[in-house]
Amino acid sequence: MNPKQLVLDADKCTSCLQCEMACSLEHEGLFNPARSRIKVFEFEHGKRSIPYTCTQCEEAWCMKACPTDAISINATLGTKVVDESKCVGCKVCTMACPYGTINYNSSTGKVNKCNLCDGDPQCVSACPTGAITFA
Amino acid sequence: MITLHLKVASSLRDTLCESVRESTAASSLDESTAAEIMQSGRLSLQMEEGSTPSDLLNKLGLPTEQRLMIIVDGKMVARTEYGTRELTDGVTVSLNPPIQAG
Amino acid sequence: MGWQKQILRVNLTTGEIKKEPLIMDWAQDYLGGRGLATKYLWEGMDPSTDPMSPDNMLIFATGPLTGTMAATGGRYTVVTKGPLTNAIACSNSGGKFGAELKFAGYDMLILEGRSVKPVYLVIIDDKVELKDAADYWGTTVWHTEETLKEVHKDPQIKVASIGVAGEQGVKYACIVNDLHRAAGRSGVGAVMGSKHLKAIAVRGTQGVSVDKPKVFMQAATETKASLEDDGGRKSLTKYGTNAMIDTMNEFGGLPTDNFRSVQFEGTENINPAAMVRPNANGHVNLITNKACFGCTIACGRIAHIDQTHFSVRDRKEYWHASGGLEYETAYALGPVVGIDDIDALTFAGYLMNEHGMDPISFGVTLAAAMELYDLGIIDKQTTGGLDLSFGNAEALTTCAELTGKQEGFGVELGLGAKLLCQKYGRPELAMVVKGQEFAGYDSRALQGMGLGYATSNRGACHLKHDVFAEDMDDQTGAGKAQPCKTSQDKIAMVDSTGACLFTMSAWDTGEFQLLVDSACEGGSDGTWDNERLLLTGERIWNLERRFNLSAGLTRADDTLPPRLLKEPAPSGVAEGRVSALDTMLPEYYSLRGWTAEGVPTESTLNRLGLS
Repeated sequence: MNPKQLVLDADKCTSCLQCEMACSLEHEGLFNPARSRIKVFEFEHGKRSIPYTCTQCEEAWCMKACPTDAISINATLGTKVVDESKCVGCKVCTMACPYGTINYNSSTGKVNKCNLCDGDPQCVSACPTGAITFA
Repeated sequence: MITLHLKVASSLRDTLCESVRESTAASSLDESTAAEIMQSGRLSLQMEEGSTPSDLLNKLGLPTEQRLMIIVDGKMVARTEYGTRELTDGVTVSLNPPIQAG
Repeated sequence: MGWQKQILRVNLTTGEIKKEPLIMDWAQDYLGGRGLATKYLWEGMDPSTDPMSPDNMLIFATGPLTGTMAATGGRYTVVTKGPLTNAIACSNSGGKFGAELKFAGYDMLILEGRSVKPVYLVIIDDKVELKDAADYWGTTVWHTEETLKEVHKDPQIKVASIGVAGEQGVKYACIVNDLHRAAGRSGVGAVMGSKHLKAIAVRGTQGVSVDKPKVFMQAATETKASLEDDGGRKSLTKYGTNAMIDTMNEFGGLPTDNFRSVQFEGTENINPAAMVRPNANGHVNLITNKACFGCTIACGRIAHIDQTHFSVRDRKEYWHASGGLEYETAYALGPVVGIDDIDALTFAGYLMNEHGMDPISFGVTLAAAMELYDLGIIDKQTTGGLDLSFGNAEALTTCAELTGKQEGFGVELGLGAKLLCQKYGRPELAMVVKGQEFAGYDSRALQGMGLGYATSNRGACHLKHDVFAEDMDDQTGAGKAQPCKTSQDKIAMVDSTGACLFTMSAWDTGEFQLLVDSACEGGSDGTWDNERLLLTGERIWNLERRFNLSAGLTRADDTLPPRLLKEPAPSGVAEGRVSALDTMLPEYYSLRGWTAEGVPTESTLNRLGLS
């Protein structure tokens, strides 16, 4: 059986950014959408709001590109996880990622990506409209 | 029997149509009537003589505990009178959600 | 925490940019947002200052809940002295600008002085600069916002700006952020224009912390859940604020044709059902709903205009989606000017946002002009050939554009209803209090609303009190003073937290206690309990009142136009009634602990720590 995935339904997204706040609180300890691993993008004057984060690609280019083997697979969750003790902040993975969902954090000098909050993604419970589900 | 002419506010129409679909109490309302309610908010309805606003809300399957505003022929019906005020033949009954800031 | 404990002060005359610590003693007494900004205004400026002079202060203030996970925690308030009212102005806005300002590290931004040439302010966290705005001056809000994001190469920058209306001192110019949210009322945009400040562009990446994170998250989760379950919230999400238009029409409280009528025949063409009904071309007005920062309600509407409609047929640049009808825009661009063409209303709404004008004041000013026209006091010669008959949709869209660009008859409409009617010798036709135009509730059907309008510190306003439940149950003036006073205090507190007052359909002071007390340290007063929160609200209300009294306002300004005091409601549930303001007002003053002249007594000031 495939591990559970985040399912993002743009039609239900209102762009309230509760997900970004929940994510930054979980991973950074404060409310800071600029450091969220999930992002909501707005298009066409607010007509469309699209939440987006790491798809946990099966063939993960970030992992292949990493020169220090700092990115590994969590076998249970299928997530690609950054080991901060190995990451040297070279940003090669951020260039390799076709989706732009692994990002350099200038305050830590390391890269960040979604790890599905170790199986309990906080963005899911924060979303008031059911636009983000975990199934 | 008496005939009531209903006028339903936009934001109650969905709820009303939903309850029409689910409720057997309001079996006199069919799908095309529901569509008509959605479009115009208008509906004519037969009820027993002596029916009250509470009877009407029950028939329509609308929650009586909500602070709905009922206006009969342009006159406000106090909430304390929902169970006692008799509706007469041919009146227009306007059903509205409670007032709130906008 | 909750506060960033830092404010930004920019002197536009000297170009000096200063970061100052937030005065925590004041924060402990006034919370943030509306209250704290009022305290800074009171301490920093003579209330008799001319609103359009460089000495007026223009304050953007966030609250302790702004930028947190508290549902709707994305609000900011603009406080200044308003040119429309010559009284204190406090205009609240959502969107994402307020939270971004807080994330950049500031609770508040204070602007003083006047720049010699047009400038804009860029705030990227602690890097703050004034830049030349020559390329933007004379352009629209939409152009300015979109160009600034491009020039600064960051789509995440949030912008608050003014249009030509603000630059040219239209009395009800607003400050628009995030394309279609606005600090809308009392002419705060004209104050920004008088300072030659075109825009504020902000990007914040610092984040916001709260005092007791675990307790706060529990409170945020619980209060989010109670809001989710609330019937009022569900209606706002599904129908937007325009859900009220049918109710108000049936009630007989929907001002029509400049308040000559209180019910509008065309309501069915502009109500929420009309917004989702396909027209003859299959066009549907409403596209989706949209949230402000942190908001789990999402009452905002995103709409588009039928491309074959006269207003945009040859103007492809308006075919895109944008902010759609809310109750107040629907009322002020619809019934009060007698118009039920939904595309014309939507287009006029676009123009309000694009050019930075308050639709309520614009619509009611146009309604006054239409009545002057109907009475033959002004004619086509005055209007530059425009037929200002009630119900003329082309007049609406043309006037909206002329006013936004300050051309032709739009210059006169930019005066606001009070000055326009004065100019033509019929001041009684201006539907205003303290110079500010009414929202979409008639004071004869909603008596408590009338008292709220008359006593609101920023002039006629429907958002500073909440007497709806009492007004629905009873159409006399009896028993309205107490709920009016209590709700004014409560809302002054809510406006100072950074949350939205639309939460109040589900939340009472208890919910704010949970959120504020866990977000903020309590200072020497200990916890932020119910009593302290309400006292804070009352203190804010009284400080605003003192500002107005010092600015020269008196009891005589707490009144309604003669039409509402003398002409009986022509129909509706309150048919035959006039406003009972003369009995409500003395009762209200007494409940407030004010003299018969409406001045807070010494003991009231002492009780509130204001002496």
